[in-house]
Amino acid sequence: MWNYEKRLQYPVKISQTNPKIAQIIITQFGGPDGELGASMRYLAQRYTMPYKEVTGVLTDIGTEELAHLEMICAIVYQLTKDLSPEEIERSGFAPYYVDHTLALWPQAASGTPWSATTFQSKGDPITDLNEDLAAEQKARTTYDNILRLVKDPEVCDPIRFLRQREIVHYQRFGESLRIIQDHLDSRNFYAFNPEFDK
Amino acid sequence: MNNPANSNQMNSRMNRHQLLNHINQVSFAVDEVKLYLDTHPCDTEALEYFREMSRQRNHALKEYAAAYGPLTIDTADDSCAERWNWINEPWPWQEGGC
Repeated sequence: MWNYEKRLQYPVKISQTNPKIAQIIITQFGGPDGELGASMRYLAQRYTMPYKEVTGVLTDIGTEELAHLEMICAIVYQLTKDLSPEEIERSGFAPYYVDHTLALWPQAASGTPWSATTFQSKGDPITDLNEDLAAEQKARTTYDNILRLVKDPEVCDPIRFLRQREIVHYQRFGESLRIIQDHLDSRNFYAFNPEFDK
Repeated sequence: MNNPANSNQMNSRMNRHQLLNHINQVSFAVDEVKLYLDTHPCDTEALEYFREMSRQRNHALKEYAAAYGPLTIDTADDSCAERWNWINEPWPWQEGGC
C-alpha cells in the first residue's frame, strides 16, 4: 500500500511559462522511457522476484519513480499555467490543448499515448534486470537530450536532479544483477529460471 | 549533515522555507540510504546513518505539521485545529506548495 506525502522529492518552482518545452518534457511522463513506465515496470516485476534484496530494490525504486512522475507533471503544469489562446497557437501547443486543455495526460513528445508495450515484465530475473539497467540509461539519455534544449535554469535544476537519480538507480540495479547471479549456477547462469523452475 | 546533538533545537529556529528545505534534505538522505541498504543490508554504518536521518525527518515533519500544516497523513492532525487541514495548504505543484 502507499501513503501520499504532500511535497515533491525535489522542489519545482518555475516562474516563466514555456509550452514548447512542456511538450518535450511531457515525454518523461508518458513516453517510452518516461517515469510512468519506469514505475509500472519495476512494480510489476517484483511479485515473482525470488531474492529479497532485489524485491526491495524494485519496490523502492518503483515507488521513487512515482515521485519523479509527480515532479515531471509539476514541471509541465507550471510551464503551461494560465496560457492564453494566442500563446497556445504561437507555441505549437494547440494539438495538445484541443484534446486535454491544460490538464496532464501521459503521452510521448510525439503525441503517442502512454503504453504498457514500452516495457517488459518477463518473469526471468536476469532478463528483467538487464531490461531495468537499460531503462535507466534510456531515461538518462532522454534527460541529457532535454538538457540540450532547455535554457531556463529553473527547469534545468529539477531535470538535473532526475538525471542523477537514473545513474544511482543504474548502480543499484547493477548490484541487484550481481546478487541474482550469486544465487545461480556460476558455470551456466541460464541453467534454470529461479522464477519458474523448481 | 547537521550535528544530531542540537538538530532538534536548530529546527525550532528555522522559518517555514528553511524547515521545508531541511525536510527535503533529510528525506532525500533517507531515500538514498534506503536503496543502498536494500543491496547492502549488513552495512552497520549505513544503518546508523538511516536511523539518524529517519529520526531527524520524523521530528521535522511533526514540527512542520504543527506550525504550517501536514505533509504526511500521520501528522495530519498535529496542528490540533477545528478543521481538516490536509486539504488546506497548497498542493506541491501549486504556487506556495512544497
